[in-house]
Amino acid sequence: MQKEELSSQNYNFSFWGGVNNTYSFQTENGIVYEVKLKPTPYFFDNPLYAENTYELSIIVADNPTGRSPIFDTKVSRTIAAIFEDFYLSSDEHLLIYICESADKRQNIRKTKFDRWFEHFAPMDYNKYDGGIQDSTGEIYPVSLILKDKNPHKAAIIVAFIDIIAGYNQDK
Amino acid sequence: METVKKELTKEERQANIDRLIARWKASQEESRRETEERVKTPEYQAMLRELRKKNAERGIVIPEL
Repeated sequence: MQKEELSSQNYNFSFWGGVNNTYSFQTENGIVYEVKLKPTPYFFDNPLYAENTYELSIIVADNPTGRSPIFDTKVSRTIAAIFEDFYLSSDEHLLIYICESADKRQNIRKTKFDRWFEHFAPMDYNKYDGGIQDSTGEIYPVSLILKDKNPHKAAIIVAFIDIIAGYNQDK
Repeated sequence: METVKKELTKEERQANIDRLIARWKASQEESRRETEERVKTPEYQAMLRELRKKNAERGIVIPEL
């Protein structure tokens, strides 16, 4: 039922594949997004879930409007549909989303991302939020998304908290 | 498997965080470059045409700008 509802309210998307699991879609305003789910084995130390960890990037590939993209519920639903597609291959996939801060708009991005997440929250996903601060004082909001049925859920959440606290080991 | 977490100083933890952020930034940059290269390809334009067609079949009209 959920899937049916999504399919009638999202944009069509294309899967490019490749190492970075790239998906593309275009909005009614002509904005083209690329959603990448890039393997990020260095994030966690534990091999049980390190190999299933992916960094989520949402990139505006083309924006003919010349303005900052406005909130579009179809975009949310498309990203949700992409997630569904991606998680079909394994319930053990983990996503890490770190908000870009170069233009000081990380909190806006975080709010937008939270709104997107509202659209896939009912589909058995959990999101855990935190923030990491670099030595210049810049704070980067970071989210972990995993399926409720992930067998390593408890250990992953503990590891995520450790990373935020700086207990990640360089690999 | 039980592991014992090694206590780290504040400076060591900050260094870990800085390293993680640097790695992530490099990865983001690489992703952006990959996208910039892809949009120049004929395959990308073909994909947009195909997406426009599929969306139109479902009543979503995407203008050709």
